[in-house]
Amino acid sequence: MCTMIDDATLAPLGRYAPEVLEALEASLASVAETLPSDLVEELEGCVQRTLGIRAGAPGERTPLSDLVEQYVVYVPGVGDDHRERAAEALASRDLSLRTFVEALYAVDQACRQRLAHAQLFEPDGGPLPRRRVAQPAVRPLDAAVRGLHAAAMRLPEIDPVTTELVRLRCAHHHDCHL
Amino acid sequence: MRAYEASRLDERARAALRLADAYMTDPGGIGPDLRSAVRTHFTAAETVELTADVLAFSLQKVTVALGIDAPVDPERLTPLAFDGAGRSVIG
Repeated sequence: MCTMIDDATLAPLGRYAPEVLEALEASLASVAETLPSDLVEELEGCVQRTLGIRAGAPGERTPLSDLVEQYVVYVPGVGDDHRERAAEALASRDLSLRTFVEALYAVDQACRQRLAHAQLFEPDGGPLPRRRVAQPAVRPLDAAVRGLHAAAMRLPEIDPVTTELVRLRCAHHHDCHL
Repeated sequence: MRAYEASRLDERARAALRLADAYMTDPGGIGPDLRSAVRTHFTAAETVELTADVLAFSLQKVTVALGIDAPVDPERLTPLAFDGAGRSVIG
């Protein structure tokens, strides 16, 4: 189960971008619903260790952990070998590579949000209050991830030029050719 | 984009790009200098939005990881827009 949302470090996100926080929660709920729990645990553990959140020695190297580490550290380094080995490992569990990578995106971003806000903001004190009684219906993972992207794009504070500069810098770092 | 620190971009833009770089490479390593630069030029709401922007644009990592980020037309730039709901419109 993805457990990284009830965390005071995400309080700024909850205060200034509540739709983004809700969309991030929804994405992680979808990850928990879509992937077997042992795979979620492996994915979260690998992402957290690679980003320095979780201490301890890495576990046994697997095709999935190799893909996750490369994705987290420098995604242009993910090659056909990573994809083929991971896809083969996932096929035995009736999961597509695309689904796994979308789950990886959500988990990776939840960790990064937590780390960045812990550095950028003073602690708010206390965990985030739970804001709803009933959990919403879990969306398919691809829809949840797209919803997260759209929620972030709807934020109104930053001017379009700065937003575009940031987008280009991201594309440069990720070596995205689209 | 490669050499923005030596460019004619103003300090505000460079602070945003430094934050983007830190978020993508070492979000836990954002230090006091960068924190001070971000606070100088951006409100708390703007700072949150900057991290949310990098979160959104990091969706590129999915297409790159899957090896499906080939340009729509290698001879031209690909038009990209965002509708009122925040959804990307490519092409």
